[in-house]
Amino acid sequence: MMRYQANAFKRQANKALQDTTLQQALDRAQTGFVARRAKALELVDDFEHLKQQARAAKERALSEAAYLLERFECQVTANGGRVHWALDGAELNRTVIDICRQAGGRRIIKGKSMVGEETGLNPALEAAGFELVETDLGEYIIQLAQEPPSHIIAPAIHKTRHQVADLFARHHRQPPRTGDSIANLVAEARQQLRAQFLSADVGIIGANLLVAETGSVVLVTNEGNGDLSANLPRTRIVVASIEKIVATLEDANAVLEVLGRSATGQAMTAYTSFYQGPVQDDAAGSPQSYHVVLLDNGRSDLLAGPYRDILRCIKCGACLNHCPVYSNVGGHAYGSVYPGPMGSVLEPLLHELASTRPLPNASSFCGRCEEVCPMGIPLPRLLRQLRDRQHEQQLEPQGWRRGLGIYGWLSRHPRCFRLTLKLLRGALWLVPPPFWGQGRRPLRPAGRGTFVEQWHRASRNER
Amino acid sequence: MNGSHSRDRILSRLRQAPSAASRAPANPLSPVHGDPTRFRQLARDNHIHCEHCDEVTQGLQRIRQWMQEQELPSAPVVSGPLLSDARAAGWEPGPLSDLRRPHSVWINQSWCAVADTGTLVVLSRPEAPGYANFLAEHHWLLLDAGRILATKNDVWAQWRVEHDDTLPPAVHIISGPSRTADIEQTLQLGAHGPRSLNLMLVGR
Repeated sequence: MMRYQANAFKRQANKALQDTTLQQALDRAQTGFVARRAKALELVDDFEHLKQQARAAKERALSEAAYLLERFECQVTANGGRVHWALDGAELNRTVIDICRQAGGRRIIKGKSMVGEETGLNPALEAAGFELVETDLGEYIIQLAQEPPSHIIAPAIHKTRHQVADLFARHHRQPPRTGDSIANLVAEARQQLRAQFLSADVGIIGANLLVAETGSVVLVTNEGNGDLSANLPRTRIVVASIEKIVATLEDANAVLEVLGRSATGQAMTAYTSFYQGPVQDDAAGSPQSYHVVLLDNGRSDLLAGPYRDILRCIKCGACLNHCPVYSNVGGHAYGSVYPGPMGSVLEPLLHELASTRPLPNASSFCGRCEEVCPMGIPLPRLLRQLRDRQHEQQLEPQGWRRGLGIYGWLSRHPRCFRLTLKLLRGALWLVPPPFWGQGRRPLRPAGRGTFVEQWHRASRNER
Repeated sequence: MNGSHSRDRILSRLRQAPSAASRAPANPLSPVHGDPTRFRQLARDNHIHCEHCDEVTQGLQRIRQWMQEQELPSAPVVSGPLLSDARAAGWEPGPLSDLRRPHSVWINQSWCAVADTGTLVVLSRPEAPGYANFLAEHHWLLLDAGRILATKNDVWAQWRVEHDDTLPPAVHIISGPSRTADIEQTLQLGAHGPRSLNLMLVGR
């Protein structure tokens, strides 16, 4: 399981800003994801309408979540599967381990699952003696590197081709490759993982949506690894959090309309599969054993509270790609499973507020995240609510609280406020640039006089 | 803690939340057909190689020619409903296990298509299991040209017209060959699944 280090955000962010390789990778990601989404939206007549439909579908589902989850369970059971319920991550891990033991195999292949990351499923399975291989290329790369994902849809976004080539050279027992072209690296991973797909006993996948009316698990991928993991082994396990539920197939479509466009700039990803029941294969003789494990982990408590909106999140990653903070520091700096704006809201709600202190503050409140969110989640408002709660619980550092107290007093006493600004402005001229540290620009006062003085002068001139 | 206890606790907490559900829109009753030209254009944009034939046997012969052009050595694997057509075209298709071999070719039927996204819809059946669509190195789909629908919602409407509400074990909505951009955001086709996806439109 990744070490939870959200409280070390500031140190980790500083480290990320000094890492030139990471900065190059983040620049590439920024231009790639942002440009592709913009192009995909240009091709749609009215994306706002699609957003409204998707949001309405999710709201309907959240309003009837208990009924719809029960209906989903009924349908899965009728289709030959079994639904398990897990209150927290530990219970989900125990349930999956029990199913794997009953399956009687040791080899597990796994598709990408953020729920699996949330519960620390991989280390739990490995500790229980299972051999587990991640099959999404990005997840496979970070599994070899023994690192957590740095993006919710592109887990190895921080790695360059040369770093991937080095990892493959160290872990793959095969003759040296001719050149580090990306095509060669993808072909090598395909060859390595093919053998794993064909010999695995259990396949574990995540889910993008759960459809109540049909008991469908909807899986959205581009590589096809999730579908191979779902179909080839004799036991299939789906791990999903409860807010993935939607009422109908049409509601699932409404969400799919915005998911691909917001995530990778595709109207539809290469593969969208609706799994109703276990594989029925003439050649195999008996049907596959099929399980869905539903995770709560605190989400049911959010439904009736002021943070309900975050349950509409479909994990498209658009808020990460457009966030000036994430774009500069990358996912690992957050020290949590879910990075970026959605993670800065969700992580403090899934964990204690005290263990995620910097996250609600890792935002410039520029509002881009809310603007690009296809589900209309008011992320800046939710972050502000969390900051308020931090303040009420007195979780900020003492120096910060004292500073806020001084600022509060000054803002109620305008004359003192202006005098202090004047003094601070003068003091800034005395500060040598290295004081601000490497990688930061030295802050120098601009223009003549304080901001307030300049403002008044400009207003007088306008009149 | 047992699973039933967790189930009850989760559902009871969810029931405490206020419910103000808006009504779901009614399911569309009759499917709407899509524009074939738009479908073909978007399918090509999705890296789907498109061809056309008048009837199934002719289409299978063209696929055989394509395999020769691509220098693909092994016999293709053909899904159940197409087996008799393949034999009529003089083929002896390989078993499903041949799909594990390099350069394998899988020929299957597409149940319908979606014009709005250039997408093909494939159903899993015991004689044509879902994994075959992902295991083969090259994937051919035959589609009746009269089954191009307008949107994804029309797919479900079409299903309700032709069948009851029970879907098959899996419905795969396929919009191109397998791909990845996980290394340096550079698109590569053929990540784990088929390197090529090819469509044979049958009829007019």
